[in-house]
Amino acid sequence: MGTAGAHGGTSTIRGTTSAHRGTGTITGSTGAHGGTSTRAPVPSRAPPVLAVAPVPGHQYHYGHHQCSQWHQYRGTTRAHQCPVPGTGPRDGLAVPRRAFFWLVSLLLSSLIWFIAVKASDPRDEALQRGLLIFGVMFSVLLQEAFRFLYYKLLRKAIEGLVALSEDGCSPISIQQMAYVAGVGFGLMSGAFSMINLLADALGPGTVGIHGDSQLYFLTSAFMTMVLIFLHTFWGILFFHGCENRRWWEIAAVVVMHLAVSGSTFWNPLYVGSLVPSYLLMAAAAVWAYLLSGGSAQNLRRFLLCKSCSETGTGDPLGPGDPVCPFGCWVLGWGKGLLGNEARR
Amino acid sequence: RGTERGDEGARPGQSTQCWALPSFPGSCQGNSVERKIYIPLNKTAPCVRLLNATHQIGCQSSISGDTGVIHVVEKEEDLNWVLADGPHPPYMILLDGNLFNRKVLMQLKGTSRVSGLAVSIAKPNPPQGFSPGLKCPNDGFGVYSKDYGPQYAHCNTTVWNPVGSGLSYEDFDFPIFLLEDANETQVIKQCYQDHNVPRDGSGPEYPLCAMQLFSHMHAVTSTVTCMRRNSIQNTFSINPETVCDPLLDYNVWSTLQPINSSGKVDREQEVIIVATRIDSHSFFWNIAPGAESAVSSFVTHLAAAEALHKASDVHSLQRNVMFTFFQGETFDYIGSSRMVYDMEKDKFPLRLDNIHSFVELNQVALRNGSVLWMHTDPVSWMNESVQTQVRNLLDILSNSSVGANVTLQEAGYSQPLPPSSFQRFLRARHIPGVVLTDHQAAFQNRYYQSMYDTPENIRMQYPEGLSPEETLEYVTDTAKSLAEVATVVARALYRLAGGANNTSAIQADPKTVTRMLYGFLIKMNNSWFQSIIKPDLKGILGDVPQHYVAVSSPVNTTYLVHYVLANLTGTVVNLTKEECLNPDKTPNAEKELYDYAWVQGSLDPNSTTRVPYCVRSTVRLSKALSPAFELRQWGSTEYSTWTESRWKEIRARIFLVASKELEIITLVVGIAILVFSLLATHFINAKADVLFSIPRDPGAVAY
Repeated sequence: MGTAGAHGGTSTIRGTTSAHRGTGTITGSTGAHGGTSTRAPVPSRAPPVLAVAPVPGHQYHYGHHQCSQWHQYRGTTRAHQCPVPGTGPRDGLAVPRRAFFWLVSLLLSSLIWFIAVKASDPRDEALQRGLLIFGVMFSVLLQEAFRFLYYKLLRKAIEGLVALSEDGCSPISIQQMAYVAGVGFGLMSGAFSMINLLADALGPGTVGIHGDSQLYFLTSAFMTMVLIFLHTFWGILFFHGCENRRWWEIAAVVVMHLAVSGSTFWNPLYVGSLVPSYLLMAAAAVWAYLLSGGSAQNLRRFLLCKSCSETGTGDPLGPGDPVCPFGCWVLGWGKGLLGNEARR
Repeated sequence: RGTERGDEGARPGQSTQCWALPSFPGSCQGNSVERKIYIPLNKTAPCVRLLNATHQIGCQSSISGDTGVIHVVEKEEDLNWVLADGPHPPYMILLDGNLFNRKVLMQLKGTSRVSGLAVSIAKPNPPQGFSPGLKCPNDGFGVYSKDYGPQYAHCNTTVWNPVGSGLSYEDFDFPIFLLEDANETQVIKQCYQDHNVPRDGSGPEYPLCAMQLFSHMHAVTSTVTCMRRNSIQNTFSINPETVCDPLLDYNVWSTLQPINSSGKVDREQEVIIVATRIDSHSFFWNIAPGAESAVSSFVTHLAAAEALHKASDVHSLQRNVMFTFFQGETFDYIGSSRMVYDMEKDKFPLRLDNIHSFVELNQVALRNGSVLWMHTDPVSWMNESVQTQVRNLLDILSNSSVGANVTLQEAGYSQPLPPSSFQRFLRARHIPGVVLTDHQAAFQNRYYQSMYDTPENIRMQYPEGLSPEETLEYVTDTAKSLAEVATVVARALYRLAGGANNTSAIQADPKTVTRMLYGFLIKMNNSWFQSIIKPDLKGILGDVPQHYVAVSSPVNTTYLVHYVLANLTGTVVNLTKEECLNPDKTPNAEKELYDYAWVQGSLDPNSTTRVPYCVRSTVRLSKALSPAFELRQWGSTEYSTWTESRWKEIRARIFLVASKELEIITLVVGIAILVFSLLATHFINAKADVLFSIPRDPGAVAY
């Protein structure tokens, strides 16, 4: 709610209404959760809770984390590595759960906001603005707190998943979790900041009768986009920081979040909020990319279609290749499709 | 700014019509984005659809509201822009009140370049007069027809309302709203000035200021159609949705000497009926001030009733007097036709044969000099016996005015009766009767059935700087002159009823008249009305009075006429609350003869409590629903068939509309970003092994 609320500078009611809407989504997401959680890969004879003792005929690997922390999308040596998780159900399991956590933090912060606004004098504009800033900052901190709680929960869940799996490998890595959690978080915050706008953007009117900018809808959309991206990257950063006890990464996430939310107080001077947010997003993107195994070289390989030219053997093509990157993208796409067909 | 008002919309009658406007108060709020886009117009009155046996009249919008770019029309030349030149049709016109006439509206009706109309009130009232009513009001439902005085039918002899444009009886397929608040009109004009004024001959640039009006009506075609649909719905649907309701309310009546309301009076008993109408109309829904067309006469009537009740020997008078206040008379005599119908069908304590004579007061405030005209029916003059009785009636009235500041004159035998409730009684019997008005031929009232028929129209003037309490008690000249009329009427009624004593003691009280005028015309929610109504009715008192008959009953006017009449003609009896509320359990209450009302009393000057008491009077209500609906003859040409359409939502708002280019740019940018992000996602996903692998250090990844 924090950053979204600061958009117009006048959002007083939305927090609470969003919270009400949120409850509907909560039940929905827990329902989906319940539906997918029964898919744990255990033999039907042994219920998950009782699957502690080894069952003859099955091999269990306890405590050996030999599996990749990385998600191998197109692994070739499947027989000797942990089973590649299907991207569908388990990712879909984490997104709504992450969204649920975001919703709880929204609920709490809108509750605080509601109480503060009700308890204060509505005519005191300076106080109201102060309250708004306080509400936004409080909401940011609350969201980050819930991000941490979610991380804790996921750790426990992964331990559980490892215990249940046949080969001692978690079907989903913590990095995947981080990514999926960030996306869920971002989508939910994006949805909540856009839903009201979209409903009103139907028309017939457009913003501006009180002198606001004509580009309100467009800038709001861009702001929402940057927030969704940022939440995704922050998720990766934050989880990485937790996992490796690098507290400065966590602190950087909180500071960035506060900075982006704070920059929306420049509105309606949209340049003042959009430009810094996009710069921050670029920085966060680079950082998150580096943390999740990316490097400048990888990127270059990707852009210069190193992998799509099967003849390439690690020797990067010249930077002045006229076909790449666009040509290689198209080429790569086509080949990717053909490859998929062939695999089937 | 005139935008941040929360609690409006509580106009009189609206609380009882909440089915019609369920979202009106709620729509004032909205979320923050909506507040950035829209300015709701809260003080508006729509024109709604009414239907009769053959036609639909009024206005409606499409189901999702009609939108158009605002153009302010203050001179007739401005219309050219709307009708021909403007590049952004359809237009929503903000029309100056002085241009709200038939010529302009017919021009607008004939074009598709107009999506709606918002009318601002002209201040001062248009000097040339304005009446959206008909030139010949209630034509076809009075007594004159091809069988009865055919030369008088259809106002052939006298056109009663020459300024009548008949606008109220036209059908418009676009919404028309009245802007009641000058501040809101100013906000719209400002928005127009800022965005829509054509510059240098070329059209204005986007964004443009636009307005949206919602007034979608459910009923169509005619009463026959909509009532048939109602009955089909009621028969077959589990959840019937009514599309129209008959206009209905209650007539208020009381008698000088109590009569048994559940039985029948003796055939020999003679009763003099005094009548007025208590409803009015205007082009717009729930705007019906009716100062001259209704209030002046019924206030005079009430004052006369009070004066007559104060006479010492009223209970020994030879004849009884019945004070009758008809509702819905504007719409083809709903109230009087129902009472006549009930009398004919023996559903009323009185029979038509009991009526000795009929005196009607009809528009009496705008007298020229001090002349009050006595209108009689020229056809009745042909009948010998009736002629004698009418002559007698006129003589008594003339004699009663001797010494008073009112001159009664006969309007002449060659002229028919003006539109009056008496005509409905004449249709049934040759009853001797007279209609008292301030006009000899055409109406003095230039604002008949319009929103300008206000206190100013009957010259009610108050000095500056009075508190509401002082204004309530201040005796205006209008009140004094109406009190004189009331005195003359009361004295004449005394004589007619057979009273022989000196009538100089019978005197109407100007103070009562001025309080009634204030309450019925300026502020219903005043201390006097508060003190004379039932405690549970105190919520109904809205601020600005209006006298439209409406479809939910009783309306405020009916309630208030009831309680004012009870207060003026009744007596305070020493009963407890329980006894007063249950008179049938109270000994000696004579429930058949009297009506008991537990009223909340006036406020103690030093505290906030009221001292309630019990009032006993002979005031009764009788249903004023057209017999056409009782008989299910929805195509009736004899009885009123007016119905009001239902609607879900009535509101108005202004906002800016963006150019098509901006809308397209926004959409294209959105689609481009979507496509780009899908492609990017696909490639990143496809090449994840390249992007996220660490080829230099494969040992970090344990396979």
